[in-house]
Amino acid sequence: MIIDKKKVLKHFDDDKELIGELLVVFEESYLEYLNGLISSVAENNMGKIEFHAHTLKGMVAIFFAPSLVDITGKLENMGTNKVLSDTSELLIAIERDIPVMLKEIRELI
Amino acid sequence: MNNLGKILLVDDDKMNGKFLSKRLNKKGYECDFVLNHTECFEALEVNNYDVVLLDIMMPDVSGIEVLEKIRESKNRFELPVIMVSSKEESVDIVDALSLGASDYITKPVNIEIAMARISTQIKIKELSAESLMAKQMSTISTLVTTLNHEINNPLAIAMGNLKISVERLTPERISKALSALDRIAQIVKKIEKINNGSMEESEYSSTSKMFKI
Repeated sequence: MIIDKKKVLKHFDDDKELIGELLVVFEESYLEYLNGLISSVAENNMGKIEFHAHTLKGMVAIFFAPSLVDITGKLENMGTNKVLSDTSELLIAIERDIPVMLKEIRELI
Repeated sequence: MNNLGKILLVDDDKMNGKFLSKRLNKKGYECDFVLNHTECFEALEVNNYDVVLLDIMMPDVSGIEVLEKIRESKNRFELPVIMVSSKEESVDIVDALSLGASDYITKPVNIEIAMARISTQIKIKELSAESLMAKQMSTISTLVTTLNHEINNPLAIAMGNLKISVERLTPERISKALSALDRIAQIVKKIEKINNGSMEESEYSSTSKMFKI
């Protein structure tokens, strides 16, 4: 499981309609930030890595996806500290886990 | 449902903004959600908000910079600003608090904690407004006491001398009356200074205060 279903439902006060609305917002916008993050890593642009990773982290945090929060948090810290390592693995993990997270949220609502 | 307060939420993160504004609206607050500093200042220009919820990390202009701009015109009692941050942004939180932020909450925002912090800030704002009103009333009372004293004395002298002058007109009594009336004229001119805030308040007696004019 990518998301913590109990925490999500508690966080949203069982408002599945609102979860659905935010799911739409997520689906509409996450690729912009993910692609921005991938480009920023390729360009070694630390400020943009920090920004895109930070935004993605906030987005996945709302759905209580701890592994994704951890990965995006690592990338954000790398941007902050201007030291990159294992970025390919981390980006692959994000691309792998987000679709799973989306599927689990759809099932939840 | 009662309106618990009017809130402006500033956050470039659409998901967090939508989540928080919808939850707060559902709980009884009137929450406007904007995405950047430009929309923030436009909203502040045309609306009276009880509290601003301000994201720290935003592109272009950060929450800290927006806070500094807000504090140029409104102090923390006139417009409380609660910073919204990630747990890792502790340095930014300390900076924000030192620059006039009223409080902070962390993402993902716990709605109960957010409501408690917002409610506290609204109460502080209301108490501050009441305290200011009481101070203004006290100032008006002091002003009335001062003017009553300062005008009444020369008026009594002028009237006394003029009454006597009707029976025994002497240049000396007319001069005293004119001098007293002149004193009243001077006091009236000085009243204008009180409006400028250049008067100094001082103790007059154990029960009342007066302005030095």
